[in-house]
Amino acid sequence: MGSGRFGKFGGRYVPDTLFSALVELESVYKKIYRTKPFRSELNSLLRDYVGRPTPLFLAKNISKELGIRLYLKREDLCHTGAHKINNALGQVLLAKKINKQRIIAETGAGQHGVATATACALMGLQCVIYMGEEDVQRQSLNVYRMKLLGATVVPVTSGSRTLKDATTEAIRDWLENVENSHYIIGSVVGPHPYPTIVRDFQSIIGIEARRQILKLEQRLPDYVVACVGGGSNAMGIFYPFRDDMDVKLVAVEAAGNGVDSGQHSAALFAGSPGVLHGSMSYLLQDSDGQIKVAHSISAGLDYPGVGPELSFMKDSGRIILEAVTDSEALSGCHWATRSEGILPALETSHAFSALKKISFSKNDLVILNVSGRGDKDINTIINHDI
Amino acid sequence: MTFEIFKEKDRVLIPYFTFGDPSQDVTEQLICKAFDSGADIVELGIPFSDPIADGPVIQASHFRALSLEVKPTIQRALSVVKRVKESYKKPIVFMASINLILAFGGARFFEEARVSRLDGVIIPDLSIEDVDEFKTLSDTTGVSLILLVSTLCSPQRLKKIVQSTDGFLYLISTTGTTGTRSELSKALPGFVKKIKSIRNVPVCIGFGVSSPEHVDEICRFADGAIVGSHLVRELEFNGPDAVVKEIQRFSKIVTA
Repeated sequence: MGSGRFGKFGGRYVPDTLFSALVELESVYKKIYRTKPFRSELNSLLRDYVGRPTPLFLAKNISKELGIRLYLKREDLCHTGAHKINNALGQVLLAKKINKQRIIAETGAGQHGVATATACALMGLQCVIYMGEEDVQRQSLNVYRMKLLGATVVPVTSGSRTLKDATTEAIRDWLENVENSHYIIGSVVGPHPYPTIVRDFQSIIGIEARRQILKLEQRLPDYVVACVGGGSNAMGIFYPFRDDMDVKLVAVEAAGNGVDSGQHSAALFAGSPGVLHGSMSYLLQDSDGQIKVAHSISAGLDYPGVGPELSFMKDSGRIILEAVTDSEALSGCHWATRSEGILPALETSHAFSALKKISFSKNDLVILNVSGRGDKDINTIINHDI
Repeated sequence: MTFEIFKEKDRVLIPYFTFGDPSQDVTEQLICKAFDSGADIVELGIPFSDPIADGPVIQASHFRALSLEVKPTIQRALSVVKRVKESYKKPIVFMASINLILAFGGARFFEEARVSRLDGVIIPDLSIEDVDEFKTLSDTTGVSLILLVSTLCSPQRLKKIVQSTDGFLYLISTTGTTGTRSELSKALPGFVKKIKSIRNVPVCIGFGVSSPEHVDEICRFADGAIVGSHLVRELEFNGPDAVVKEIQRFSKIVTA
């Protein structure tokens, strides 16, 4: 894993108190990640508990409309309704190996919180979830689910009261309780080794998708499309295609009220390099280095930073960037639901909407990562019904 | 030698203020009054939107300062330092998150800090693995790069940190963020001894120092105590005069 740098991005910008815990986590992870007992325990959970492999579904109606062949990677069919469970289970298993009995996590949309609370319920660990007060309100269903699962949900009232502040609070809890607690970060962000660990646990998405498309189409796709908040579902599906240079990787960010409005979450598209939550990446910040408040209709994308590896892939030209506004995402949600009978999360709806922006050639082969299902967003969708 | 104070005194008192809380004028007056009341060094926190190393009390003070119209920037803080240093020789150090320094520009920061006669800077989220560039800038400009260490530090890293720090070493008293605590970690005296066996560098202890008794206890085995959250809270609820009184109360312990 080395220095945890992706070019200049990544690193470990944390107070000394956390350093030993990060070093320990890295060494335990390196030691056990590829071992047979760990792999077989994780793989059997992914198969029998999560329901992997998730299907790769040919979306005939949208394909016909756009003149492409669109396959949907159905992470929305995972247990708990999103890809977040892949990472949560892996990390809870890891926490058990380092004898941490208490799990801390942050959550935006609530999907990572639900996934972590689920994994903790399964393994019998104590679970504390930090969630911005604004997100507590817009994702009330998920808050109740976490409580049902036995987790303590702590509403965060500082700052913008969203994912950024929940992450800050979670890191501060970890600083206080590092000796008995493991922090499960939900995305490919944070200090080394988190971006690598989360990417590895999420790579199962791309590993399966690559195998499935080769079997179904006997060739690699022309495009892989995924939405990006912190970037965990995107890195999960992109990573196994990283060396397939003919496969275009499209990262779709949330443009909120428009990238020019200043109210958005498009860190790659419109941010600049800086340090937030322990690593260097593209960020939304002002000229003094104060982190700006992100905005997106979808709580899961509402984050002013993005993963360091994605930041590096932007600079190296490996990913193509798209930005989709709140209203475009809502239309994308309606469109996907009516066309294919699949209600995607508002996060994923950004990726669907981007399909209309990419200039495809006829019969291009496209995989879109359906990172989660949209049931949790029904309230938001109702409120914005035209 | 900027930090000669450690040669002159066995017990050094370092109050912390958040720059711009409740206003930049009040902070400037507080620094002067703190020096007049027996403070030996002043630590000035530059407000940041996402301070992961700080507890709720100091975080709230950062948010208060950031919500004002006149933003509590590094530039403005340096102007205050420059003015105060015209009348006071005692050292002033910044506590600033790495992103603020990067946004300002590392080289520019150290150069302007030198011109403003800032004595040192603590960057809580800069680890020893990443200090090289800043260390060079510190050496060229004479603005000390004061490193933080916690009792959880491994022996190999501890050695590097102790050897690299300039001015003094900032020891985090407990695991956790800044904030007031009723009891200090029992591991501290032994840890200070370990530090001193590597290099005879002044060690100041912060994070959780909230009473004259704490300061007294700390100064039995370390060189100085940093009082942060306690004063920030005093300022919030009882105003600047109360803070000055507290500093006077604490300073009796370090002059006794």
